[in-house]
Amino acid sequence: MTTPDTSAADHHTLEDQRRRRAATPGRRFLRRFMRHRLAVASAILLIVLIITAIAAPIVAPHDPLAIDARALRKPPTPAHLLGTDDAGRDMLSRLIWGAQISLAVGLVAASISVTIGTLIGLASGFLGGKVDFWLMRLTDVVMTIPTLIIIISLVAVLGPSIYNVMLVIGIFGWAGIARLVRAETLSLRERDFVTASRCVGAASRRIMFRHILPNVTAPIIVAGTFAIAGAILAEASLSFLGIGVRPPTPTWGNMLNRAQSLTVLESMPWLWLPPGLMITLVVLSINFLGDALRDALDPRLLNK
Amino acid sequence: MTKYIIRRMLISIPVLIGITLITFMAYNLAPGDPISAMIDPSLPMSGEMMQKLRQEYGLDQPLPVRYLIWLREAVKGNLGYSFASRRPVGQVILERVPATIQLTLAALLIALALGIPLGVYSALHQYSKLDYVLTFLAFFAVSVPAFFFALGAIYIFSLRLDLFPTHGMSTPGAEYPFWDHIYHLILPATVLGIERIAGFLRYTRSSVLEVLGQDFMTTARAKGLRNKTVFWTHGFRNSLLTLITIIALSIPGLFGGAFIIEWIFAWPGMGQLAIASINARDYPTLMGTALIGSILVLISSLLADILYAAADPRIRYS
Repeated sequence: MTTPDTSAADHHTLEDQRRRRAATPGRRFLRRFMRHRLAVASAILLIVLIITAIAAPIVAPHDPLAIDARALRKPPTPAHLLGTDDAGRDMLSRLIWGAQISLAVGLVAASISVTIGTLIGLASGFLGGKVDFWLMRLTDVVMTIPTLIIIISLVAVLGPSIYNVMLVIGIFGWAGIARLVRAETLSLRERDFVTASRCVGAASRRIMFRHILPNVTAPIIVAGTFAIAGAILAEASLSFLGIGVRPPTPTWGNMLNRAQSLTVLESMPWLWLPPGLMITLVVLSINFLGDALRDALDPRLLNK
Repeated sequence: MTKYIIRRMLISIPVLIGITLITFMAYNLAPGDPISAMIDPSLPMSGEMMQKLRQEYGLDQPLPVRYLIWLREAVKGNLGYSFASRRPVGQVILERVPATIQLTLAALLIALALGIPLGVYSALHQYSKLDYVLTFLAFFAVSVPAFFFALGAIYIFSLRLDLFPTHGMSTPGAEYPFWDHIYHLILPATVLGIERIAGFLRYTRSSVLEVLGQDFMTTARAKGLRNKTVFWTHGFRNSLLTLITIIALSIPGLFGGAFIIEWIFAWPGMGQLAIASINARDYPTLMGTALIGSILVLISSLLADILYAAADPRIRYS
């Protein structure tokens, strides 16, 4: 057994290495992420919001659907911290319950977009040829049709319901993700490990999902984050126009619907400022988060 | 160059067909029928006529045939008759198109006029206070829902400060109708443009930063040219190219946003018509707007691509 070298100049003994924490990619990512102060604050805010939304039945002071005909359009009072709407329902409770819907729609719709986009991008990038050409034409079509216009048309036609909203937003939001995944797949396709897999005889599907997909997860996560923000905005727009989720179910978008009347706009700010500010805050946080994620996951900065 | 234009137009054709397919399928999901809406409501209807028209318009045919019939009629300009106003949809929409184009163009110009200079400034003075403020504002502009921003703008600038009119396109009996028109245009166009400013600003900023680091910039400076010349003639030109692509990519969003802004400001364009049709359950008009809107976007994309090829010779030969 050799005695450990105790010379002062040498700090890299085996014991030292074992004692120092391993610099796993996960830890490196966290370090780089923590540098973006704003994003960390956003992440905390979002977590608090999600917990509040899930705990809505407990946290909300009143029943969001409870009509109180004696307190129509009342400004904030200690009983109703954010005032009441035109049916006498408590604004604060509606705001909290509304968070559930906005976040849920955002997550589900974004998941649909990410799934479709990833599949199409992988297939397009990896298989190439005619498949690539036609899938890219399809992507062009979806990118060219002004998303909001077709979403409005479809939801108007299918009927306002939370499921239609989730579905339609999801189905038209995948174009950017598909392009991104395709670009990454194209570059990864030429790498040695893919060639090696092909030599061993792996089927295309296996290579795509087992080898290429894990390597494109980083940009997909970033794109997915922005997709959630976009979906929340889209749902808000639809509900605002009256074709998304309908009252009495509260969602931040349809709470803003009331503000179309100049009277409400001018003299009852408590009816429309809180939901609008909430949407802005949430989307802003998600955008900061996504931006920081993009920086932190950038493979070109591997050794920071 | 002509070859490129032709190639580009050929690629647009499947996209066009795709747009018509999606619009037709959406239309079919509505109660009623795209083809029955094509029947002129002002014609006296008898049982026999109905039968004849059914056959002629193929109302009893399977779906793909009905699609082709609808397509044939659409190409002729017959998009059906509006349920609400009983007039041909094509005519109704065409009346509204100029207003929408005015709004969209004005918004684009405002966004470019503000976004590019601010982006350039931001890049040249990287990490300065103004740079941080602008970047934050850019984030903010992208996160605020367009309609909330519009409502807020009306609240502050129209109701509180009384600087601009709240709605509409003109005041009855105005002395100078042209300026009155512009006066009504400013607020909606600025609101619509704000979201795009953020995009253009950030893009210009990163593009300029990238160009500044290139070797040819050092060469130009080494040649002894003035900083201004070095920047604008050599550097900025390269950013300009990608800017055209960014503009092209922002057009669909601009159109979609115009719909909502038109509705809030009661600006009588295609968007306001579309939203009004939703409330009136006027599906032919709604679908007509979707179709024409998409086609307008397609045409602008085409023009942008051609412009891009004209500016950058490398694209023409790839």
